[in-house]
Amino acid sequence: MSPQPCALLLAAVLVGAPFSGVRAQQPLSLSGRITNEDGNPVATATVAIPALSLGTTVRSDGSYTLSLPDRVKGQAVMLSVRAIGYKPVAVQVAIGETGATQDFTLVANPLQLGELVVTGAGTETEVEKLGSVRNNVDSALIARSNEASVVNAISAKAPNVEVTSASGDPGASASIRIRGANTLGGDGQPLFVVDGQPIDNSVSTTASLDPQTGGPQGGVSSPNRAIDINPEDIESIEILKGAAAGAVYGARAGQGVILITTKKGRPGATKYSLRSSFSWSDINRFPQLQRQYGQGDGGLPDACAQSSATATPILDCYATEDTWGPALPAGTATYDHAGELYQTGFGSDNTLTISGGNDRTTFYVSGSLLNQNGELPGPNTSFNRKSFRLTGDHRLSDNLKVGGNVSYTASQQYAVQKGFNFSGITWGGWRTPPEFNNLDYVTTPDSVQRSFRFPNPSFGNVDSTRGYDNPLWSALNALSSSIVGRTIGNVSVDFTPWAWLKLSYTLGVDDGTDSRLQGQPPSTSNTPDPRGQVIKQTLINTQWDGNFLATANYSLSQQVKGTFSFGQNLNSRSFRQQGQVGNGLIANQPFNLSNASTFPPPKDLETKIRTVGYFAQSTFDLWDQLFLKGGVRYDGASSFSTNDQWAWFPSASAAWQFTKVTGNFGGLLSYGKARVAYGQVGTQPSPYLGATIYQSSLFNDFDAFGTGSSQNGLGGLFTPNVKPATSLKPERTKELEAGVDLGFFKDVADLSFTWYKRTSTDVILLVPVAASSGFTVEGANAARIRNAGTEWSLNLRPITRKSFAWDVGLTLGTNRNQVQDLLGAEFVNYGGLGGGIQGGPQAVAELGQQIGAFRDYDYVRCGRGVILTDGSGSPYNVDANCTPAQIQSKALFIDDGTLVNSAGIGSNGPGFPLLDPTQRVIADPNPKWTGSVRTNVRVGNFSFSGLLDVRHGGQVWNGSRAALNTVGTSAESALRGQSVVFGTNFLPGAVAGPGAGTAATLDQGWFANYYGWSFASTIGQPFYEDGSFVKLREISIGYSMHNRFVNRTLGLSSVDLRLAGRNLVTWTNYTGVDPETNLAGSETGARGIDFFNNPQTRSFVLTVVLAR
Amino acid sequence: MRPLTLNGIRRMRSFFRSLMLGSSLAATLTGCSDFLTGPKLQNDPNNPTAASNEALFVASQVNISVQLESRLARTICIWMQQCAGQTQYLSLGSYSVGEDDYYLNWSAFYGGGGLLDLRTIQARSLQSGDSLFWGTSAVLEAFTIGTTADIWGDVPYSQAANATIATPQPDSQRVVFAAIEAKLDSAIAFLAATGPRNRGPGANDLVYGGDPTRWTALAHTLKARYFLHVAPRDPTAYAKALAEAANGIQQGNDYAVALSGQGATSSDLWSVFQSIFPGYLVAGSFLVNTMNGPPADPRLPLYFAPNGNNQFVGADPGVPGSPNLLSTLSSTRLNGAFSQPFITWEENQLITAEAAYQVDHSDAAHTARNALQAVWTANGVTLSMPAPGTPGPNDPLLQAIMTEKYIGNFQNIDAWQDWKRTGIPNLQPASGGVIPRRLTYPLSERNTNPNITGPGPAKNWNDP
Repeated sequence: MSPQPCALLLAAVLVGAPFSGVRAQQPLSLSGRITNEDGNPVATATVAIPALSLGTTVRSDGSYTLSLPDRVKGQAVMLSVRAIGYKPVAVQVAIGETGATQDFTLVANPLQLGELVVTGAGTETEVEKLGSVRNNVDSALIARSNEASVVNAISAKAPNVEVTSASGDPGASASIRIRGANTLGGDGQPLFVVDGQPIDNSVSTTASLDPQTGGPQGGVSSPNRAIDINPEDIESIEILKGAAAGAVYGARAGQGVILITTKKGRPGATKYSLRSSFSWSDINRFPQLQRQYGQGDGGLPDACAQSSATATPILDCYATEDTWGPALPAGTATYDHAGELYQTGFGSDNTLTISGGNDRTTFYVSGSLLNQNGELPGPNTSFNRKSFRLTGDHRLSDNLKVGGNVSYTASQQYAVQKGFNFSGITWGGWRTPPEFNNLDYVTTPDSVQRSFRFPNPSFGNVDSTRGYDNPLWSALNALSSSIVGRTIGNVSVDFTPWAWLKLSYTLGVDDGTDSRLQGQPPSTSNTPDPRGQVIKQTLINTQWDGNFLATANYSLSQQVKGTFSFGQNLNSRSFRQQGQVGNGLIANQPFNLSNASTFPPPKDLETKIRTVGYFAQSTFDLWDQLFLKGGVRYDGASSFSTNDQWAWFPSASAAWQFTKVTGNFGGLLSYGKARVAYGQVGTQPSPYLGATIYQSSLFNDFDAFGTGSSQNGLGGLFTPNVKPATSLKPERTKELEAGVDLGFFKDVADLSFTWYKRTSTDVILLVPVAASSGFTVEGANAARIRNAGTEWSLNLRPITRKSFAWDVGLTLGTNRNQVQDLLGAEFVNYGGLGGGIQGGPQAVAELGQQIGAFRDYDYVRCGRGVILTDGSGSPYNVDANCTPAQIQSKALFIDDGTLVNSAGIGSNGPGFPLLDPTQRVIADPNPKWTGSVRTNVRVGNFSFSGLLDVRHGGQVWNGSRAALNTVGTSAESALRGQSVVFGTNFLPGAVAGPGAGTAATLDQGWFANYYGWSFASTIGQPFYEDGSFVKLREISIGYSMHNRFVNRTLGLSSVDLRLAGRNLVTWTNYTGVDPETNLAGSETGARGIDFFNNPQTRSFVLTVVLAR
Repeated sequence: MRPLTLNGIRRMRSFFRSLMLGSSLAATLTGCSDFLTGPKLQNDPNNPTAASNEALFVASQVNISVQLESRLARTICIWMQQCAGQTQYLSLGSYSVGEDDYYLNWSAFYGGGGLLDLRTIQARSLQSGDSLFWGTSAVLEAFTIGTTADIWGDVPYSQAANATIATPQPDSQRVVFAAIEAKLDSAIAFLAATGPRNRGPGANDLVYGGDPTRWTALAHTLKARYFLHVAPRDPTAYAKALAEAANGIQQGNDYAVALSGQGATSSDLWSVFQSIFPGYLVAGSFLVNTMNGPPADPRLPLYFAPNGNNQFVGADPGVPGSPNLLSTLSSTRLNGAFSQPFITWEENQLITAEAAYQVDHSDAAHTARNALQAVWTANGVTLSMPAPGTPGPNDPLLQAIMTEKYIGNFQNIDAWQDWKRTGIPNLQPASGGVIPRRLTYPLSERNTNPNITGPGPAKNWNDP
C-alpha cells in the first residue's frame, strides 16, 4: 500500500495517547462460578461490571475472578453475565472487605434475547433492539455442513439467501444471492468481512486469457476466494441482508454483507481440539444416453470409424462426430459414457486448535490441512488447503486492549476442463458413440491420443486436433492449477477513556497471490494451435482497510438511553494481473512458456479503487421497549466520477417489543416484537469507465476467437467498443422492510416474518448504444430494478429435556424481481458471459421480466402474430388459422409441408412444427420460492440431524441434452425412425395448423435442425426444464462421549463421532445432471445454464473430534 | 459501559482525554483530500490514451480483413455452395441463422478499426496536410461501408460514427453507393498529391507498403465494383464500371492481406477455424462439381484437399456426409500465412468483361472475351471461349464470365453480390429453404436505434 497518512496518523493517536489510564492493581476481588440449569459450567460466558469498565471471560470450569479497585470497598456494583445461548443476567453485588463471591445459574435463551449481535463496522447491539431481521449461522451449523467453503456452508441456512455451487469439482465456486438480483454488472456477490476486514471473494478463470478456450463457460470451475477461510475457524456468521442493516457499509453493501467472526481464546486451562474428518464422494446424477445406435450419419456407418474394427484400419482419418449410424448389431460391446470415468473421491480434513489465556491475555491458534480429491482418475482434480491462524488479545490496562489476528492460507486447486470446451470432460465423453471405448485412450506403443473422431491416429498425427478430446485423456493430461498464498490479518486497539465512551481502531490487510498454470498437451482439441498450449498467470489482490469507531453511551433518564457512534473507514483495493499464453508446444512437456512457439499479446492489467467513508449512527432506547436507530454513511470512491465523488446513505429502524404493553396473552405469546426499517446502500462502479483510451487487443469473430490488432511486427490500436462514461455515481438500493419476531408458549416456538421491497436505481449498465454510432455500449447509471418478497422462519422446540431434545426449523423465502427501466433499451445482456454459448440461451435483463430471463427461439405458436409464407409466396397469418382457445394456449403450429417462416426456412416435413425466427423471452431461471427444513434430535449422547433444501420453480437450460440430441447420443435420440403425432405422443400439448394430427417420422434432420443445439442452432424452447428440487443437503448421526473412560484413560474431556451424508438424495424432475449447477460459476450473475458442466457430488463424511 | 449523564459531563476532569478525543476526530476528518484522486485511480493505467494514425491504420486494415474472413464469410461461402457446413455448421446450410449472429460484423464496420477510427485518421490527416494518409484511409472507408451496404442495403453512413448523433438514420442504399463513389473520387485526387507532408501510412500499410499508385488502382477497381452493384437499378453504371476498371488493379497487385501466420491471433482465420473446428466446413458440391469439369480446373487442388479416396467431393447444402469422404480446404488455403485476396486483378478483369458485355453486345466478343481469356490464361484454365449468344442470363459468354468470377471469388463474400445480380451460377437451395439475399438488421442495433425498426426487407434496393 502506498502510505495513507490519515490512517497512520489516527492509529498513532490511538496507540500513543492513552497510557494515562493504567491503574495499580488492588487485592480486592470478585469471583464465582457460572453454570447452566444442568449444573455444567458455561465456559463461554463473560462477566462485566460496566460501571467500572471491567470485564473478563470465564475459565473453562465456569469460574471467574475480577480484580476490583480499592475505592469500591463497601459499595454495591452491578455485575452482569452474558453467554451465547443463555439469557443475560445482572445483579447488584455488595463488595465486602476482601471482595465478594457471586455464582450464577444461567437459563437457556432460545430467542437469543439480550445477546450481542455484531452489526458491522465495529458496531454491535442486542438482539431485541434490532430493527431488521437477523440471520445468523453459528459454528455448529457450519461444522455440520462438511463443506470446504464457507459459502457452501451457509446453503439453506437462511431464507432468501440462495447458494448455488457451480459444479461438484473440488474447489469449484459457489455463489450467493441475497433477496434477488439488484445489479446488472459484475458478479452480484455480497461483501465478505472477516473480523472487520473486508476480503476478496472474486473468482477468475485462467481460460479467459485465451480467446478460444474462452470465458467462464469453458476452462475449469475456479474457486471463489472465500474458500481460503477455514470454516473451522469461524465462530459465527451474520448475514446482513437488507439495506437498513447494510447501510453502515454504504457503497459496498448493495448485494448484502456476510460478517464473519472468527474464534477467540478464553481464559482458563488451555484447550485442545483435534477435528478430523474423512469423506467418500461420488457423482449424484447422470444424464441418460442411448446405447442402440452407432457412429455415422443418415443411418449409414462412418467409414473411418468402421475401419477401427478391420485388420488394417485407415490411419489418421476423421470420423463424423454424429451418432446417427445404423442400429448396432446384437452383441456389439457398448460403453456407459455417462458414468464410466467416475470413481469414488476421497477427502480428509484435519484441524487442530489450541486456545486459552488468562484474565488479561487470550490466544487462539489453529492449523488445518484439507485434502479433497475429485471423482476422476489422475492427479488433476483436487483441492488442498493448508492454513494456520493466530488470534490474540491483551489488556494493557483496564481501559486499553490491543488485539491481533492473522491467518495464512495456502490453497491449491487442480481442476479438469468443463463446459463449452472441446477438452471438456463431459462434452467429449457424453457425445462419444456408445460403441467406442474411451478407456482405451492412447495408442500402443506410440501413446498418441485416441478419440472417437480420430480412432486410429498414427504417430505422425501426434499434433492434430481430435475435434473432441477423449475425456480420459483430457482428465489425465490437461492441467489447470491455481496455487494461492494468502494472508488476512488485522490489529486492533480498543480504548475506553471514560466508562461511557469507547474508541477503537482496526487496521487490516488481505493480501493474496494466485499463480495459475494451464497446460494442454499436443493433440488437444481446445486451443487454436493443436500442438498444445501453456498459460501462465499471476493474480495479486491486496486490500487495506482502516476502520475507526467511537461509541458513546448516554442516559437522559431511566426511560431514555442510547448510544451515539461515529466512524471513519479508509479502504484501498488493488488488483494486478499478468498473464501470457504460449501456443504450439515444441516438445510434449513441460508446461512452460519457454516450451511454446508462438505468443499472443500478454495480459497486463492493474486496477486500483479507494474508498473513504464516514458514518454516524444513534440509537434511542425508550421505556425499555421501543428501540429507534438512525444512521448515515457518507462515501467517496475513486471510481465515482470526479464531479460526483460523494454520496449519502441514510438508514433508520424501529423495533417495538409490544408484549411489554400487551402482556403475554396468557402465556401464549411469550415475546413479540414488531420492526420496521428503511435504508439505502450502494454498489460502486468499476474503475476507469470514464477514461478515454485506445487498445491493442483482439478483433473477435462470432465463433469466439480473435485476431490481434497488431500484426507482422506493426503495432495497431483501435477505439474500444465502450464509450467513455460522462458521469458515474454509485448504484443505489432503497429498501423498506418490516416484520415481526414472535416467541410462543414460553419460547417453545418462535416465528419470524419479514416483508421487504427494495428498489435499485442508478443501476450501472453498460447501456447498449446503436453500434452504427461507433460504440456498442456506454457505462451509465441507467437501470431500475425492483425486488419484493417475504421471508419466514419458524423454529419449534417441542422437547428440551436434559437427555432428550428435539427441534425443528423451517425457512421460506419468496422474491419477485422486475426490471423496470433500461434507459430505453428493451433488454440488455445480463451477467456478462453467463449465457454466451453460440446458438444457446441469452441471459437478459428485459423490461418487465425478472433478471436473468432467457431469450431464445421457439417453434411457431398461435397468439404471437407470426406471419408465414405459403407455397405460392403469399403471406399466411398463423393466428387467423388458430382458434381462440389455441391462441390462448399458445398452441404449437404444425406445418403441412407447404409453409416457410420469415427467414425462408421450412419445417422438417408435413406434421412437423416450423421454427419461429424471432427471439423472445421464453424461460426464467428464478425460483418462485426457496426453503429449508432442519431438524435435530438428541437422545442421551446420541444426536441426529437433517437438512432439506427446497427450491420451487425456475427453469434450467439443459443444453447438454440439446447438444446430445443433435449428435445422436441422448436417450431421446433413440426415438429415431419412430412415427409420432405432435401434441399427442410427442411434445404433448395443444396443437394447431394445417399439419396437425399428421404422423411424422423423427429423423436425424429433425433432431439436428429442429430439436437440438448446434453452433448455428435456432431452437431452445424444448430444453428449458423445470429446475425445482428437494435435496437432502445434510443428514448425520453423532455420538458424544465424555465419560470416565474418556476422561481418565484417554485423558480427554470429550470424544465426538459423527457420520454424515451430504447431498445424498435429490428429488427433481430435471433430466440433466443436477438442477443446482451454473456453468459460469459465481463469475456472472446469470443462473440456470447447464451445458456439459461437470456433475455435482454426494458424499459420506466421518468426523472425529477429540477435545481436551 | 457506564452511560454518560449530564452530571458525568460536568465531572469530566481529564483535559488530556478531551484533547486526545479531539485530535483523533480531527485526524479522521482531515488529511485525506488526495486519497481518492491520483495516479491509477482516475486514469486507466492499462491502456494508451492516444494513438497515432499509423497505429490506427494497422488496426483498421486488420479489422477489415477479420470481418471478411469471419463467420460472415463462412456463411456466404456455404450459401454460395462454395463450401458446405457439416456437424455444428450443418444448419447454416439450411439458412438457419440467429437475429444477432452478424452483429459483431456490423459493429466492427462502424466502430474502432472501422468507420470511427478511419474518420479520425482522415480528420487528423487534413490537419497535418497528409493527403496520402487521407486518401488511403478514405479508400478503406469506402471498402468498409460499401461492404456494409452490400450486405444490409439501407445503412447508416452520413450520420454514423459521429459523436453528436446517438441514433444514426440509415441512408438509402442508393445514396450510400453514390457517396462511396464520391469518396473514392476524392481519395483518387488526394492520392495524387506530392510534397514533404504527404507521408501516408508507409511501412504501416500491411498490403501496399504505402504505395499511392497501387491505392489509386484499388480505388478505381472499388469504384467499378460498386458501379456494378447498382447496375440492376441503373444500366448506365456498366459504362462507368468499364471506365473505372480500365484504371484498376494491375496483375500482381491484388489487395490481399497476409498476416504473419504465427499463432492463432495472427493467422489467417480460415486456418484458425479449421484447426479448432475440424470438419465443420468442407467443400461445397456446386463449386467442386463445376471445377471437376472436364476439363478439371487447375485451381482445384489449390482450393481443396482430396478426400480419403483421393477424389474431390463436395457436400450438398444442409446434407450431412462422412468427413472422410468429403474434401476439405487445401493446405494452401489452410496455411496460417495465406494471403487472403479481397479485391483482385481478376475481379477487375471480370468486371471489365461483364461491363463490356452489358454495354455493347456487339463489342462484347472483343473486350469481354479478351478480359476473360486473360484471367483463364493466368490461372492455367484451358476452356474453349464461347461465342456470345443471345443477350441475357443464358448467354454462354456471360455464363462463362460469371462462372469464372464465381470460381475466382472463392471465400470472397462478393460472390454473393454477383449471384444476386446475375443469378449465375444457378444454385439450387437446400431442401425446403430459400437462399437469403440479405442479412436482417442485427437485433442489437434494432434494440438501440429507433431509426431501424424491423429486420428489414427480404431484398436490398439493388436486388429488384
